[in-house]
Amino acid sequence: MPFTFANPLGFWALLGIPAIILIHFLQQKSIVVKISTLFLLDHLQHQSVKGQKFDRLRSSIPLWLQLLAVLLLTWVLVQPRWMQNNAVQRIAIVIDSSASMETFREPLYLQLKSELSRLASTVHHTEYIVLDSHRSKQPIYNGNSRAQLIDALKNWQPLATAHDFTPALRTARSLVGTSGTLIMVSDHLIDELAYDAQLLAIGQPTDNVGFAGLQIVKRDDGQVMWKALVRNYSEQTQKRNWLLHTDEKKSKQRSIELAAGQTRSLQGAFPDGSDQITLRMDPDAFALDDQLPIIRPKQKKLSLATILTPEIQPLLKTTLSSLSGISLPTPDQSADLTFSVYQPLNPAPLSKGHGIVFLDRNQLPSKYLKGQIYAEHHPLLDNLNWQGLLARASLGLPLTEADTPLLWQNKHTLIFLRRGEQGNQLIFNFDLASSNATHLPAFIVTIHRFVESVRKMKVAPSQLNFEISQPINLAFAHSEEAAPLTLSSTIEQKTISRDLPAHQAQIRAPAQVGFFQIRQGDEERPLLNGATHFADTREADLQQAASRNDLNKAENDLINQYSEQDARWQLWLLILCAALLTSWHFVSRPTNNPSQLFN
Amino acid sequence: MPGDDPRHINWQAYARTGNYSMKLYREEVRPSVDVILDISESMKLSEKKWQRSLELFYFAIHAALKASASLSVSVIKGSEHLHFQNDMIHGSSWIDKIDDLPSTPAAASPDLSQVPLRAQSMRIFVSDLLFLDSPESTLIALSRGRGRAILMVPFLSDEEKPQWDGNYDFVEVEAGSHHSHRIEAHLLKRYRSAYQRHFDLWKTLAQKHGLLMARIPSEPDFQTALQYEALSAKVVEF
Repeated sequence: MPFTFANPLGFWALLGIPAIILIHFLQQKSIVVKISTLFLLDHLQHQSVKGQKFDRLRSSIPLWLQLLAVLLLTWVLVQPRWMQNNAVQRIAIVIDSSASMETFREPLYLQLKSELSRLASTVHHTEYIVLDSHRSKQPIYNGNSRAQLIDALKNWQPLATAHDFTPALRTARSLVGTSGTLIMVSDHLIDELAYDAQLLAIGQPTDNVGFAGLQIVKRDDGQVMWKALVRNYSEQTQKRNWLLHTDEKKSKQRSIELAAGQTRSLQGAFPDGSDQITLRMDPDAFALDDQLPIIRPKQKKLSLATILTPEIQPLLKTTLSSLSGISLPTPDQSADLTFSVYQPLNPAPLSKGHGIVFLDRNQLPSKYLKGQIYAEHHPLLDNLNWQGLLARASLGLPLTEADTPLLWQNKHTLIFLRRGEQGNQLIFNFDLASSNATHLPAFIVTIHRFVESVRKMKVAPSQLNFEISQPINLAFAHSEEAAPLTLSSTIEQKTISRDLPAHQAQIRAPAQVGFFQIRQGDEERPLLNGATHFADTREADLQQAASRNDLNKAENDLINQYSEQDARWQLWLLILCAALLTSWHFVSRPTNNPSQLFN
Repeated sequence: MPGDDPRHINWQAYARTGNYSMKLYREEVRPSVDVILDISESMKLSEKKWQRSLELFYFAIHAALKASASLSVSVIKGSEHLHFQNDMIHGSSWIDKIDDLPSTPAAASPDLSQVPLRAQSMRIFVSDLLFLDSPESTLIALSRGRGRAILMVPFLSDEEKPQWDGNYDFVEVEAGSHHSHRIEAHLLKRYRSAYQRHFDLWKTLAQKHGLLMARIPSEPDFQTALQYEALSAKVVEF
């Protein structure tokens, strides 16, 4: 039955052996004696051993007893434990999948390998389950081979932002049960871990300089400018070289110096004819923020038709001019959005498709509506103040069951949303001309929100910048006959394509820094041209990285759980005491004739 | 009586008594005693040994004087010797003089042939006999001139049965030289045997030359020490 040691530190007691031998050597230092019979000794010279300060160790009973005592003491201190046969331990490892862990891959492999082999040495059979702290539903590895576990980790990508580990720890604990060992591997210290998890922190403070954000600005002259933030996360001044390159050209290399903790910005215009540029910086330990792909943003164009009365048209002039990305529909094209008027005294069917309908009574209105104005919770009206609206009571569009009221004054519905098969209609159900609505910011913002919601729903090409793994609101054809979506990522000049499942609830930008496209079927123009960059300053700051190993407690727990202690330790202690007492007896006893010790 | 020399008839006694009587003559002999003390450094190995040596030295002088013997006192150290008058011996000034004698090589035998010994004298030699050379030369020198000799040999039990065990830096008492030895049980045993053989040889040769020899321990009191060998060897009598 193999055994292990619960307290390997006890082996330090073995230092007592050289100490005892040294003491015995020192005790045998040469004694100076005057002698008158040296000529007798010289006769025996050929048989005597030449004396030295440190001669070969002389055997003696106290020496052997003391050595025995040290060995017994060591044996008792290291607490040998015999392993139980057929014992199986389960170890769950939750690995922090924050992006900063990428910096510490090598320490992760090394420490995990050594710690797991140490833990495995305590039990006959060990099973491992490795979970990603961000996506814990699919284990990274499940098996009993440490080598395969490390290989599985080499294909794992830590790209998440800062997140809560508790759900993953809960899952891991449920997998290994209360008797299993739960290890949380991270690159920083965590004060309290749930579910009795033990921390293995493998990080260390590391300098990093990188891109920390992107802003696209459109100047008054229409030129589109990019503005990139660069941050020094270290505690010393750092200098880096950077350059901009497109598919064809590279700019001259420039340098930027940042004081400790400083953030500076770089900005410039897109080169003529280039929609995609990449800013590159000297590589350092944290590679994710060393490059910043940027794409010239292009939003979807909306064709807008206006069917307004002369009374309403001037009221909406300012609002219409504030809308961007708007064009007039071509003759062979139906409008994406229609601004129209509904006249209760001369009712006509509402236009099909998306639209905004204003009420025009076209006669003297009645008195002002009174009472409290209530806004429903709806994305179009959230956080908008309509309390200053003054509207007159008038005939309006009657509400149907399919309508969603948005704004009330007493029992009168002032604004509601009508959903139709061909589009949504935002209906302002009060006489616009006799109200003060056009002077209210809430009015203009509501119209802008609706226009943008229509733009989102339009299936049309666009170009946008994203952070890695950012959710994408993409409009595409959903019919059963519609072709599947394909996402093509271009990373380091390599393009990887994968189909996006039609049922996927949420489309996300790729987890790698680079450019990507999303197409539907064989469409020539992609639905989305995008660029992903890393801008999580919490993950890029590696100054808080640290290392700590709390697995000693886990190891002790395992040893106690899966092994039995030496049942004879009291006997060894008794023998130890007896050896010491006997040794003391020999040392303290006057030895008139030392030769007795040898006989 | 028949055979008596008629020249020695005491005629006066015959005239008085009418009986013949003879005059008997005994030659009056005054014994000569030469006392020699070995003052090599080995005799001073310890205070006890030197004390016992001096006791034996003065014991011999006292015994000679008590017997009204003609006393001659000498000390010897290697090839050097000094002769002292009787009155000087009773003081301590002679001891100061012996310190001026040069040191000798280790275990060097005293050159007794240079010491003037009177013919037919009794020689009493007080020495530890720890000499490297053969005893023959010393014994012949002592017994020359038809003299008789007694060897009084003080010794220490530390010399006879030392308790050595381990590493020792031995300092040769006469030459002052240092010698490192590791003493273990078997070597100690061999040393004791060698020591025993050394004095057995001296005793055998002394007997051969008709000399009396007794080893006298330094540790017990003087009377007890004499009972160790001196009495049985008839070196002393009570």
